[in-house]
Amino acid sequence: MKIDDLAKETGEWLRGTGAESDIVISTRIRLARNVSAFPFLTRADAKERARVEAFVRGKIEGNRTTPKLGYLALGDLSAVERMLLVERHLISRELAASKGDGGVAIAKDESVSVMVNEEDHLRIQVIHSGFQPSETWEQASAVDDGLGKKIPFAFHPEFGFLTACPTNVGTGMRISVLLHLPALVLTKQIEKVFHALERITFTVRGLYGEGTQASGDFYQISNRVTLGKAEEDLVGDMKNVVPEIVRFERTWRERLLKENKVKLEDRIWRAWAVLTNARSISSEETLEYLSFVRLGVHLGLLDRVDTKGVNELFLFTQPGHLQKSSGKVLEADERDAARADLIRRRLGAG
Amino acid sequence: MLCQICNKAQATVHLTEVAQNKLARDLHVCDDCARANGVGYKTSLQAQDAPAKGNPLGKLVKEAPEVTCPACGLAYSEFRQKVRAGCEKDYEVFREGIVPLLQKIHGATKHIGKVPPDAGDTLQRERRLRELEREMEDLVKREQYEKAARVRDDIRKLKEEKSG
Repeated sequence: MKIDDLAKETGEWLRGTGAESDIVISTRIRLARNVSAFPFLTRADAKERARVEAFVRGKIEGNRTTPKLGYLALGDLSAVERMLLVERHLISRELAASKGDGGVAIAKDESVSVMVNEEDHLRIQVIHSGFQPSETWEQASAVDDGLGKKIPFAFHPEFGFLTACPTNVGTGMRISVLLHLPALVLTKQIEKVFHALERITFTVRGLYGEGTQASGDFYQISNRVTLGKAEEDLVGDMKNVVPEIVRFERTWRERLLKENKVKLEDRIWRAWAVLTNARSISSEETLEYLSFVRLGVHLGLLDRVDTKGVNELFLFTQPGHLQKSSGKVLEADERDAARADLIRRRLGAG
Repeated sequence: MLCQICNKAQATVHLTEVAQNKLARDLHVCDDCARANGVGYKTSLQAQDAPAKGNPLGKLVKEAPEVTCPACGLAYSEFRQKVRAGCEKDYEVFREGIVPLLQKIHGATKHIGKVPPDAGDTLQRERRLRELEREMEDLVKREQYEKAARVRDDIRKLKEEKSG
């Protein structure tokens, strides 16, 4: 697998297809697994890390039951390329920053990836566009079965799949849904959603995982508990919760349209004006304005771009992607200029 | 201030007792009375073992006798500090501390989900049973009683296999 091929296209999860894709960007499932008889990475020295990687990589590459996965070794990747993989949700920040042997195996359409030597030996991930919890789980489970036939996973009859951190033990599963909730933010209803989610042990995070701020009105919700519930229960919880939030967001979008249409249109078109005219723009500003444009597209107030086009811009304007496509490392102010150019070009404003 | 127990020596140990659902109570006692009443205190060196500095989750891990995992060499005190296991054996070796920790994090201590393909027959069957029971409940909810009855028969068969 070559990272240059990857950079030209977007992953399946950004296509803007799938159920509720006006509000639900993506559905993602991650399974944490460790190889039995190897120490966990917290206690593995460089030599043992290398042994784990070689073992797991061999099994992944020899596995024919899952979609074909191409392997990228971390050591072969530059800092910019690692950043690009983080932005595409193919590796975590932790893996990108890690030293020593590790890597990631990725399916061509990027819907399946397996991180090797993150906090656990394997982190299997399946990600799809829109709200597709059952389909995503079925695929993740199939990949898990395929690998589980070749790799003896650390498993305990009572505690389930064993992980380095006790917060992941049991199913080792994290199901995350990425939501775009501009109307709930605008009308300050979003806090209510958070409180409701906290009560049912769901966690809310920003666009790029642990410890990140929600930006551009994007929120990622995921389960906190991994033990004492079956995977299907966790999928079921999402199926109960997400449609409620989606309905809530839609209600407030309609209300805004009815009661504050001029003001709303003004915000959306001002966002468009900045994006199509700016000569230098930061990543935060971009997210903020793209969020309004995305809302405008889905409310039928703005038709000069489609969902896929907006979604792609969210990705291509990230620092890693900008630097990869320009072929060199850029300083912050150079990035802001390159970002503004890219946005104007993509939105047809020259 | 004089010791509140013997009323003779100078009080040098100041305790705040916090009982569940009650207001905190301050107690000022002398060295000897403190020891006589089983109040131990740590030297500054021992105090560094306290989990406060490590992972915030460490506060949830209870104190237990020091043991070291024969497989990976991780000591329980270190596990308490970082709240990361060093190998799969730690879950057995530190069981005494891990079970209450799992209860606090997950509100449960038993896995009821998927089992790996190489797991034993009993585990596989238990998992299958749970799947079928879920399927049956789902069918009943959707009022597909005929299908639900068929699943119920499957469950019965599987249970008979188990006892037989």
